[in-house]
Amino acid sequence: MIARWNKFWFEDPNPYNPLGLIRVLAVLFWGSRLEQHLEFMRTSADLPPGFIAKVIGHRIVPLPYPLPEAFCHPLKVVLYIALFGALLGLFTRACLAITSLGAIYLGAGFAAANLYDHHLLLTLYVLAILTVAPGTTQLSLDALIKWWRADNRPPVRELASFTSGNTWGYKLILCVLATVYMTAGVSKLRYSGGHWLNGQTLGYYLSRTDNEQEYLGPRGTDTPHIHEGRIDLVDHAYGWGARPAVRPYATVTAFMALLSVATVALELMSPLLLAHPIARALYLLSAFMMHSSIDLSMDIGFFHYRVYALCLVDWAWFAAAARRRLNWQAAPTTADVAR
Amino acid sequence: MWHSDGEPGSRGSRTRSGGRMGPNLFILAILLPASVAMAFGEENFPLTSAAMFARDIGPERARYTMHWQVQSSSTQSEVNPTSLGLSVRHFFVHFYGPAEADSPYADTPRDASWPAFQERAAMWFGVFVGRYEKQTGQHVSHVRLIVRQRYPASGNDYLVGTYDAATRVFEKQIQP
Repeated sequence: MIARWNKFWFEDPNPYNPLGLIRVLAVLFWGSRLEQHLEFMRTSADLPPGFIAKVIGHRIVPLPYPLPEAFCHPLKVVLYIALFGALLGLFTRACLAITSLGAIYLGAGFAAANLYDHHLLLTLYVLAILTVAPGTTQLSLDALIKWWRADNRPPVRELASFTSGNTWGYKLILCVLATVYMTAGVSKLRYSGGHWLNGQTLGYYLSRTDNEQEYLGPRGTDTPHIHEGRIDLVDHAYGWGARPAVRPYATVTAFMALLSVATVALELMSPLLLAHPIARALYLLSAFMMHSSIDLSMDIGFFHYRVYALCLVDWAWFAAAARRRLNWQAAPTTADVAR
Repeated sequence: MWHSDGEPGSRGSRTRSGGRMGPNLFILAILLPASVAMAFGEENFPLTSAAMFARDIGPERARYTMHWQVQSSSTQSEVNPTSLGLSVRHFFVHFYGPAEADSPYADTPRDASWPAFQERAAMWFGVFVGRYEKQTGQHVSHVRLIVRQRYPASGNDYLVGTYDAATRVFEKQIQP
């Protein structure tokens, strides 16, 4: 068991490791949301104690949320310096550590107000993994400085190499992504008891014409049940208007059911991400298409997830396979030799 | 092969034996909590049970909207809390309270009784009124919380209660 574990994490025959590129992208993704999260904290300064609940992120970074107004600007300066350091790869790991902690802290405040930033979630895990995983400092000024100081400089193109002797960080990102998709599938079965598969839920989302927040009563009750002075509501619906072009399809029950089953099946098959590079690539491209179709139909992009999906395909394996195939075709055949 | 991290070229040689302890602990620290959140349905940042989209919505489930009617010194108007920087989902999850014992959301109110809700509502409406008055310069006398059935019988309004800005008390209106 332990030998298998070690073999999986630390002895990979395919040393594809795109963490340098993923670092640049993850930092850009977080940077694109940083201002929004800082502004939310600044505008929350007037809230009374206890108004915003504590979540686990507040225990990981045990600073008061929101920070007093006087500390907001210094925090902003520190986070932007760390952001640019992590982006350029200068004091890379220290900057990534500060960036990760900042993302946990600000994301926790946002999520505690039930504005759970699911885009940020994957980027947050990626940033945390990059802080310690080997291969992160590829494509960085740190690497350039180290290369410049080295006695026996290798070719400069090695600085942009997507290979590393140790790929556990890459695999851990794949595992996190697999967990995220698996959780989405499991939750649909947990909270809907299989009803999600009949296509009515997807039909509901694709028929929405407005973004008004709706709240759901218990299943099986179409009349309000009043308890302790208020109507029983079990959850809020995810409200977002669908694009007009797709609304007619929302009433095609069989089509909606087919898409629903395909979605849940794809989510539950996420362990394929840890399988052979071909299976992983097929899964990632399927996930890319799923997010693209959601973007086209409902205007919910999950752009970060799509970019990560493309980065995580083991392109080095495919390049090597293509090279092998070309070499095999170019090699002289027995008939050629005889001639 | 060049390794900017100082990683040796031979794969795994640095982490063979005791050097693997750190990475192993880190891997477990990342994956175990995420797996627990999946198994037990916990929405508690940075853990998620991905409850978003997971509820089934069909003809056998009623749907509602919430509305906040503000009575100021001169006018009565409907105000969306998001225009005041307040999240309506936050109000629902942490103040109104989901009517489900095992709600996935972190820190949902444990006490579903009316007095406990009344206390939570007074806190939330205090912030609501403060921000509204600051934004508009108008003095608020009352705020009504209305739950409107949207499906299947559209347009039925239920007045849950009224917040009196002078006494800072949220009074019950709806009767079972």
